[in-house]
Amino acid sequence: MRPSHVSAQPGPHGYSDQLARAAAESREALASLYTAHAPQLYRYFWVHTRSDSLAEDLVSEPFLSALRTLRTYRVERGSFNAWLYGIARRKLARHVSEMSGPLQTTDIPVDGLPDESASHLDERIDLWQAVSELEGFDRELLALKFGAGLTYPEIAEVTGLEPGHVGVLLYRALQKLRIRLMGEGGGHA
Amino acid sequence: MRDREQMLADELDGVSGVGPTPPEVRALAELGRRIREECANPHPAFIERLGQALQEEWARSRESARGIPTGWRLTRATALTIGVVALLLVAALYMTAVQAPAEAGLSRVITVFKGAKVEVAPPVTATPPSVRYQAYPSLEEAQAAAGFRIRAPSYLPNGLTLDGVTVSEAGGQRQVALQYSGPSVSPLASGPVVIQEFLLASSAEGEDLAFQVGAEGVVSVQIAGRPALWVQGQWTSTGRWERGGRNGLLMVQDGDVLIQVGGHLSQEECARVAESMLR
Repeated sequence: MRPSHVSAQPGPHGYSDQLARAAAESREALASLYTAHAPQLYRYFWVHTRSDSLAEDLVSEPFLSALRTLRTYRVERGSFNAWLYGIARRKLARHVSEMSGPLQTTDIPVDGLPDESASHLDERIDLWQAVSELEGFDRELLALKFGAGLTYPEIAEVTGLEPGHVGVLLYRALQKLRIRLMGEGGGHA
Repeated sequence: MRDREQMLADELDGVSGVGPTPPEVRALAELGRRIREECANPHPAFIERLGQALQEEWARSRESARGIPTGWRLTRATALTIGVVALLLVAALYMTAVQAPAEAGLSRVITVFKGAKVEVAPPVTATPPSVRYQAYPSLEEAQAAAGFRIRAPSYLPNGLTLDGVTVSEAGGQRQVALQYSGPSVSPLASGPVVIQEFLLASSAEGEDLAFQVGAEGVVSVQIAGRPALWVQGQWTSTGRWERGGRNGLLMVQDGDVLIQVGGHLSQEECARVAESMLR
């Protein structure tokens, strides 16, 4: 039997793996790949930094690194997501070490939200303040799950954990976050 | 009995009908959704600017690749060929002993479409053939290149709109992919959906197209009276099948085309989309 070359993985990530293979030779494939992943990668960095400008700075490099090494990408070694977020996590770790400590960021996006009530704005600031106070890996799981929108198996692939363990750690991270919010705000969560 | 972590996963994925969920778990899921909703999205101008820069970088890298002297390219190609042949010899010696019994024990065809089959078997690890690929902004433009009638859905959930169509060919296998996404306000709210259509028996070898899945998370269903398959699971990088997850995939055949509807959709929604393509 001829080996199948089409991923049976459901959904767009199997599709992204095919695009990644094609992107080394096709400008259109590269554009599609970028369009599919750039917003999620930005959101991943934003959860970590809560800063539009920092997230913009950080999101560029993983794509440029990926572009330079697309020819070495092999789908059988792992999904494109795992590859891209592997680069992104290393970039973030370098950035944190260059800053000599945890990320200190402030610009919660209040501009462009003129109708937002003061109490809702307070809740938003509480939420992101509490996220920033979580342990690094707890925040990482929240960024991968709710920023990048990855599935448990995808997070497992990116982090090297078992998917079941991802579920346990994510549950605990959300519990810690909820306790912080309830302690500070009297129960926004 | 589901544990609390599974309940949380089900809540986040919108899985219903699996039993009651305690208020504490629902609160955690709600908190997760708040993070998802309140996380900032990039400014469209930034995305466009960076996309432009990437395309320029891509063009530069192609130029420099073409600029490598012929002699050096030949030397490099020869060295690579020798290396690959040596690796293949070592791999053949190893895989004959180790992989053949494993495949004999695991492989089981669970569904046969005409010209394609789905089997419970380990994922194929052979190097994929190169892909020829072309993207089109509309179905009409892709139709001429496809070489077969593209099935377009007459039903789409949640206001999904067509982002683009790609026509690709790998190993003689022709396929079309229709990519859809939801309202741009929140790209993760509905998530991208991809419909893939494979022209069966189009390969030069005339052999069946084969898909490998795990033993769990695969269900036989009927779409408009035709046999179909619902798959919810994926292969990890270590070659292990993980059942479940947010993405699902529905497979059904229409004439000489195998249709796959996949993405962040429930089984019912995938079925409705697929059914609308068969009319």
